[in-house]
Amino acid sequence: MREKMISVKDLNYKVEDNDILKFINFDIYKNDFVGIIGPNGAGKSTLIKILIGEIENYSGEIEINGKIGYVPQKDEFDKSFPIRAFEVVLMGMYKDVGLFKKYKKKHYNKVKSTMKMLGIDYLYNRNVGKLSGGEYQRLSLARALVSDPDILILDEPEAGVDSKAQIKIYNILEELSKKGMTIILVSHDISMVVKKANTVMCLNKTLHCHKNAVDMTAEDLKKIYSEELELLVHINKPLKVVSKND
Amino acid sequence: MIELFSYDFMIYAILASILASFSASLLSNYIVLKKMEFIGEGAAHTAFGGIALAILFDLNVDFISIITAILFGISIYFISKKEKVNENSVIGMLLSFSMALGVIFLYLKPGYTPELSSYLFGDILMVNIEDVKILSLVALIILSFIILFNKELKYYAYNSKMAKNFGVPTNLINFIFLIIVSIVVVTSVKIIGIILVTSLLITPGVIGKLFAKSLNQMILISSISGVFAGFFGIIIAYFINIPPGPSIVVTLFSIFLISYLINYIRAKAFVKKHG
Ligand SMILES: Nc1ncnc2c1ncn2[C@@H]1O[C@H](COP(=O)(O)OP(=O)(O)OP(=O)(O)O)[C@@H](O)[C@H]1O
Ligand SMILES: [Mg+2]
Repeated sequence: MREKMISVKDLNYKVEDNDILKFINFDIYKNDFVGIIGPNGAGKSTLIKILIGEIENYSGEIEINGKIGYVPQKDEFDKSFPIRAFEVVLMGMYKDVGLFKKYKKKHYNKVKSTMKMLGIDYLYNRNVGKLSGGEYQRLSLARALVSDPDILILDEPEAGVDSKAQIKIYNILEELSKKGMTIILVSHDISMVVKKANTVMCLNKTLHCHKNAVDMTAEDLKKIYSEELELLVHINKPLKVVSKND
Repeated sequence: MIELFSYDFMIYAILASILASFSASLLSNYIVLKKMEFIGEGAAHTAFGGIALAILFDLNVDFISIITAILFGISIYFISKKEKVNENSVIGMLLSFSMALGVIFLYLKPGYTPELSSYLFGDILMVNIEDVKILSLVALIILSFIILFNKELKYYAYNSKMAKNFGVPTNLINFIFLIIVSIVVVTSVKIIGIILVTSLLITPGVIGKLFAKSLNQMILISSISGVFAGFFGIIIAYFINIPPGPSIVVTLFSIFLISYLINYIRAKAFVKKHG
């Protein structure tokens, strides 16, 4: 049996008296490529913030087995902040260095090689405020990857990115997955999720489905997107014939 | 000009002004980047309550105002940790509350007015060797803080939530930072005054940000501007016989205006050259 990376048991999360997440249970195994889909406000980002430890006042049991790399949905910052791309990526290795110590040559090299792998090494010295949305998104990915995580969690990495850059990101994810990384991808791009991921979770407060991507049906989508069904059925048609390997 | 340096009080005033400006300038970088401009004002006005309390009961003004400022820093830290209350709202409330208490205390002290304007706008004659010693110590502490926590402060200012996710001890940094700002404010009050100290906690950072490519460059530019304004401000104050606070602030603002213009012209030239 494969190694269990994440185990979530009876997870509930409320803000004031509103249920944000209800009775969530799932396991994620090594080398899974999990896509999480669901409408706006479904609790996808919240679930992820719980997994990475940003939100702590939930109830239930969560076990994480390994190092997490995280690409946030949006990273708000002042565009005129004097900080260069490599400095932002170095932040991803903060835990390896810690207080009162400086980043060493090996850290800088790691930043360089990671940025190169993502095709953004030319941005190394650029001020972060000058990057385009797609460039920043890849920088964010570089920051998540420099610490050599076992689990990579991405919250809508395609948001605000043109389709060329999107495809680039998805191809990189596929590569990483092939190398054995466990990937959790939140996305509104349902057809892409079903194509690239091997398991899909449909979330809307609670998990409405959790199954192999190839087994996804219009019915599954109907459960979480009742109103937009028309559109989704249309999208869903070709999905059933798409297999993971093409 | 030379005779200026033959008075002890003037040497103390110049040193105090340079040191206070230096400390405040260092902090101004983070205040500007983290957009917490209101905090210096809060600490200063809160200190006013402490100062008035000390005057009312004939206590040691320095000691009491430092205590008030530290209490202010701690309150902001704890109250703003609860997400429901915005940090600026808290500061706004504490600021006016403490200012109000201060006015009440001074009203209760019969026949009191003399030193008040000194505290509001600074006073060259109020500074003594003790103040210079305290300000040196404060400057040293802040400089060490910025060197020791350089990367943490950078990430904290850049995006503290994200920094926290990546393991940066942002709560610790935030706590130390709030206390340090409060201490700088109260120790600078004699030379710059309660009303104007905010300027030193903002303007140098704004100037630095105009030109800097990195945070360390920004720190360098801002502290040079601050120290420059501290030095010339006090000399001008002496010669035209005005309180030092306004003079330092006007000097600093002039540096900002010139920098802004230079930056504007540079940007224009760049556009011309590169289309
Ligand atoms: N700090 C908060 N306080 C109160 N409610 C919150 C808070 N954060 C999120 N919520 C609520 O929780 C629900 C889930 O939000 P979340 O951001 O997890 O949705 P999402 O699935 O990521 O949506 P999107 O697709 O728009 O990114 C929403 O109804 C949101 O309003
Ligand atoms: Mg979200």
